[in-house]
Amino acid sequence: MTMGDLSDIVNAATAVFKILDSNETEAMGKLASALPRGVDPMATDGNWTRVTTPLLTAVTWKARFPTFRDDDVIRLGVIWTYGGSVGGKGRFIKDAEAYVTVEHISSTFNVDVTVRFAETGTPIGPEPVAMLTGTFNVRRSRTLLGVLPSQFFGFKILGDGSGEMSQL
Amino acid sequence: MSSDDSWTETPASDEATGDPQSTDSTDTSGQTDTSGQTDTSGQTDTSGQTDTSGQTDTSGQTDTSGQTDTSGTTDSTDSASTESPTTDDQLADAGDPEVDLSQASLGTLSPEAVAVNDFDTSWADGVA
Repeated sequence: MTMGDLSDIVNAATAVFKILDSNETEAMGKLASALPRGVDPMATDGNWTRVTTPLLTAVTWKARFPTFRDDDVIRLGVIWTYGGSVGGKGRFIKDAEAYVTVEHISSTFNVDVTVRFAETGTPIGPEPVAMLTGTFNVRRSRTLLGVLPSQFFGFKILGDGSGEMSQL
Repeated sequence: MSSDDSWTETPASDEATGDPQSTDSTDTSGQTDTSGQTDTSGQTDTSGQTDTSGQTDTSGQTDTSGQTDTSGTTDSTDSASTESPTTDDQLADAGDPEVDLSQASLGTLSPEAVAVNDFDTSWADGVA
């Protein structure tokens, strides 16, 4: 396999997944990956390692009157497995999953979170190390007043176990 | 104070003696207040009458009528405002959410990785 082949990194789970549906958490239907095109995860080698600590971002809507209501808090998380190679080359990503945990959501609010991983990965460096990006869309609606503006969060996860999330 | 017809005009003792009516802040009536209540008006009662109503006068006014208040009613007092937030206000939020990114980074990204900033949000209206 040539270097060019290793740099053609794709993700097989490109759908938009709703992982928080009206305050109810749901799992992604399919896990994302960043592997050379045509390579099955089972055919890889190297040292696959699950990240021990997921990327986490807490989103808090502060209650105006804390005496009467708790803050609404959700946490966006991304976890993945990294370090596998193809023919001893490269470091790639598999079993990448985005999820939400709910600490508190007021009864008169609905929060929906959707996520999408990019269709292609980005080769970083000559090795290469695969990088896969994705975005969360957090939409909060109030029962009587409709949908409030979306909040977007982007993340980068890499085949060397590093990663970061930010608000867009 | 109530002013119903049951009030009885009782002459002050000063009137019977011809002595001048006391006007200073001393109670010279020789009467006993058995009401057990506290007068917080800061005013002087010169009527020489006994208040047996058992009520507290918080009006801050001076009663010089020489009448006895036996009505058992309490002067109205302004109640302090205890305005509470409406249900709508309680549920409202103060602006955009707070975002805690303190756990949103793992390891150190290479400069090449940091430079990538092509996050796609165009899909946001479609949900699988």
